Amino acid sequence: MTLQAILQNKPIILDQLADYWRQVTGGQLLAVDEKGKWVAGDQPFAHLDNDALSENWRDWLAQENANQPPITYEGQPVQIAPIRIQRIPIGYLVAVGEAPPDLLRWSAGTLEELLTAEHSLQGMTDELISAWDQLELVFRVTQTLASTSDLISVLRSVLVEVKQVLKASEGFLVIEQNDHLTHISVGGDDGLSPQRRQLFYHLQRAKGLVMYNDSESLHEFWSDAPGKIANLLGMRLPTSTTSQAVVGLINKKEHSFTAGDGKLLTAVAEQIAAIINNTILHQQILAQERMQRELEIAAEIQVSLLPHGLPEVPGVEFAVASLPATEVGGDFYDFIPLGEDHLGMVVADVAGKGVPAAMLTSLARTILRVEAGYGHSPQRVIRQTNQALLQDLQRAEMFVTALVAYLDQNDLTLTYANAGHTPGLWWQADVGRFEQLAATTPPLGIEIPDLGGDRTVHLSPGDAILFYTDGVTETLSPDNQIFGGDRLEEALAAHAGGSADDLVQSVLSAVRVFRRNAPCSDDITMIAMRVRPSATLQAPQPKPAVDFAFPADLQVLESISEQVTEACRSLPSLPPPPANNDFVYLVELAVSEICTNIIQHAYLMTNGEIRGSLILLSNGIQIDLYDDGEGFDPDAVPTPSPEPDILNEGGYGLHIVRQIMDSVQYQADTPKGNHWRLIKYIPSE
Amino acid sequence: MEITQQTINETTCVISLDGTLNARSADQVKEVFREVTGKGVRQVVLDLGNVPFIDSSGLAAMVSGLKTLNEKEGSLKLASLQSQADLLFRLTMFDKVFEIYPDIDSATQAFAS
Repeated sequence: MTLQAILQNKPIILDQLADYWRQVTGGQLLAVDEKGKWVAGDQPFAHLDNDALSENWRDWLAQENANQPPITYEGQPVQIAPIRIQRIPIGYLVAVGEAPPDLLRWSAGTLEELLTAEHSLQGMTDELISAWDQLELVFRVTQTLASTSDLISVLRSVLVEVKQVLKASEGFLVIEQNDHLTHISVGGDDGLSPQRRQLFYHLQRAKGLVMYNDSESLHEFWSDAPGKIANLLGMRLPTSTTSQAVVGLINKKEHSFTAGDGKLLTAVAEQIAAIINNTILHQQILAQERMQRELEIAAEIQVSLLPHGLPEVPGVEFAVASLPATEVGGDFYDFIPLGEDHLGMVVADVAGKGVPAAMLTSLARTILRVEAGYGHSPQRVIRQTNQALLQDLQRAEMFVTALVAYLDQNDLTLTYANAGHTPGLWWQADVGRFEQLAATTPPLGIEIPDLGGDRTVHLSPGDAILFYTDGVTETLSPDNQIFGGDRLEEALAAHAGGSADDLVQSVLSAVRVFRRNAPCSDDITMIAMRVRPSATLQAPQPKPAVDFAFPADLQVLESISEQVTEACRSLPSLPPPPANNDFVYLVELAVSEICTNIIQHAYLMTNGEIRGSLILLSNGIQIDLYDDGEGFDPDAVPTPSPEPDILNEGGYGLHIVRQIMDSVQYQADTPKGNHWRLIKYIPSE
Repeated sequence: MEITQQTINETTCVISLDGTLNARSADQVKEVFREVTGKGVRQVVLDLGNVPFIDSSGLAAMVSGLKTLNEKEGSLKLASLQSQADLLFRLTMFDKVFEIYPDIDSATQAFAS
């Protein structure tokens, strides 16, 4: 604000004062700027141009300040009084002629008040003009909120608007949350300098709006304020207790900050605070909800992944228990049907709890299931699963123990591999004791050396098997004793003659009694299996089947095809030709591929025999093929390149078979030789 | 498998197969491709009208024939696929690799144009 700006706009203010002055003292009154240049009022020294007045001015001021009045000019006494607005000197009131000094000081005071009032009035007019801008600002702030979800960019946009409307050269916003300062600046330095930190704490301490338009008072407020800050408008934001924030503007262009600027900043500050509060609250709620939901989803997934119901095997009964210690456990069990005659069982424990463990549990369960579905042996399933999971497990610093076992339903042999899992317990009824089915390889998550080797045990009528997780044996009593393997065997032995369910319940109740009031520290999972004492080991139910044996020679491929075609066409559920053509073609193709494979790769084109059977299922066909040639690794067969430009002259066979059959299993070196089992179901309409 | 050749002109011939195209007959087919290209034939129509069954070994034989011709800047067109062959080609996406025509005439005409 300058004296000229106001007085040139409203010269009447001084003219009225000069009239009054003349009437009272007979002298003259004028206003000059800081350099003594005439601005308004009388012109007593008409012959003295402005420059000449300025020349005298320095002497006059010096005399005035040295308190050496009276100053005289051309024989007339001259008095000077400074005019200050908001403590800033903006010019002087000069009286020429005899007059009491108090009257001049009073006149200067009156002029200051009039000037201030006029300045405010002008400010209010400006405010009125800028009201539209402000309305627009609020509108834009609202729009920004709707279109941006990121707090920082929202605040930055708001700050840009405020800075523009208030014509400041820099706007800043500092937020402190969790002892961390976030600094947003528009028009200034982006980094959070030590000075910004100071400013934050100064504004933080100041109770309300802070407005400094002169460096003197600014330095009273902030002693280390950098010289380049000429004026400052700022305030602490009314945010919630979890975060503190200040907002401010620096260096209003060519002007001082006004009371109106302060009002606008206060209004915007409330909005900014609301934005910050809402965002923080929203984030907290979201995080909580997400966490809760994640846990729920993980728990839901896990429960849904557990098998529904128990497998049905003639002469064998099953029971299971699954008690998670926390909402989401790391234990799981699974039953995997493997063709007509085999049942896969898995009990596993993922080290760790909560969502990460649950995710790995789902992953491990799926991979184990898929690998077992390929017809690999248990040891092979564990090795393949470990290969698939190794990187993830090592990165997460987790491991998984798993016991994988296949029950042959025909002769009740149990083939298993145990990856670092608690030993399975095999109750041998005839001798009345337990044998442990101990670990055969390290847990998943550790590079498993290729030790090979499944173990096989032959179950007899009356025998029982318990697979369990260490939550059972590591149950703690209130005095921190461990339940242990001996107590487990004791509990089982007491019910060795009972049903599978009796076995599980006896273990659970023994654990409950032992634990008393102590909390469950780990999940408990069990599979119990019991061979009924009356069970007679018998051959599988006879099925409509075609058995065949051919010499391993490419000459016979067509004969095998003919048999396959004939068997397929006899399927009662097969629709009549030509609708069934594709089904028959595909089965024929698969058999041709596998037989070619056996002749070329298992027997290496030397003499041998291909045996097999075609079994009609109610809704499809199962083809078993056996050979006595070299076993091979179906996974080692590369997938042919899908690029039409790179044409492989072969290698498509197995790839095609996997594509067209619903189930392809291979097991080398079974008692009947290398065994392929292909199943294709008649597609439903 | 019975294989017959019909010469259209010096560089074009029709090879007709009769029987199952599998591992047993694959080598025969590969051989006939080598034989005709050796005689200067560059454009071959492979007539599959009497082939009720093709497996991956049969596919491999046709890929081999295609490559043999391609090396001599020749080309191969397949004609008269039966439904099983058609299914196999679609399944393996080889219908995108080979030029397939409904009959011998349209295949030979495609060469002529």
